[in-house]
Amino acid sequence: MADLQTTTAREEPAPKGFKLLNTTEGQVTVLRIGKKTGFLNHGQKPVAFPDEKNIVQPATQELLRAIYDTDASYAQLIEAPAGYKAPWASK
Amino acid sequence: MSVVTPISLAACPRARAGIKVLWAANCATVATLTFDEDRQITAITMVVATPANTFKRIEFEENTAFFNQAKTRNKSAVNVAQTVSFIEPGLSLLVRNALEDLNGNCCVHAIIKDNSNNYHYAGISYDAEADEWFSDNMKTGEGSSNTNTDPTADQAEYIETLTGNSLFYAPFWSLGEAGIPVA
Repeated sequence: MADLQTTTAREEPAPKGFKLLNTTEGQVTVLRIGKKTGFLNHGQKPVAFPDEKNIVQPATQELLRAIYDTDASYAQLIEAPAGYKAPWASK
Repeated sequence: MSVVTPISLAACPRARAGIKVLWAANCATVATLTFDEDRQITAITMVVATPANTFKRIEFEENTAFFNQAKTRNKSAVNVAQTVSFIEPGLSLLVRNALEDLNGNCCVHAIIKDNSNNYHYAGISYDAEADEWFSDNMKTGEGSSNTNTDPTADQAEYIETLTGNSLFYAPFWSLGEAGIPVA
């Protein structure tokens, strides 16, 4: 998994209110963030995954928005604030 | 689902036979799979543990492995028997023990990369209408360890299989090799 990377969020602050639907401690989702592969920590504690070299931090609002914006299917993982329109919503 | 979808023949379809590599994990390590509208997997949620729950890469002799999905119609029901078969050349302690470990799993998920660079997620059934999936209890099936007889024509080898029964053909995995969590 050498080319797995955690994508940094966009510059502008994300609107508050993105929520993880699954908040189980000790679970990590591998998914796409933009065009890269990344990790989503569902808990509040940092976890090493898939090995000790990669510490996945708890999700920030910016990360949640970046994931949410990537693909419509990620609305199954993250709830957006009311009125928020993802780029894929207009397609 | 009473829908008929057109199928257009590609001018140059990617249809190379065989599989390149596979990755396997115990079902219990996978908490959730996320599917998109195209019924392909776009995310995998793993249960983190120490040592890490990850997929393990399984390599084999080139052009000896296949992933066969045999569909049968049983009155109103469809069943797909999934079989992965691969050959490990040479009889060695490492491979013998790895195969024993694989045989110790009674429920496996396998991501299979074919020779056309498609990724198939075997060992689960996905019901698109309900948007629900479940594990098929895929496990190892028939196999052998064989010295064979003629050094001028044969080789010593292990043959191993993974088998399971699914609702339909394995869903596609959209995250590529980079998205497969391996330690």
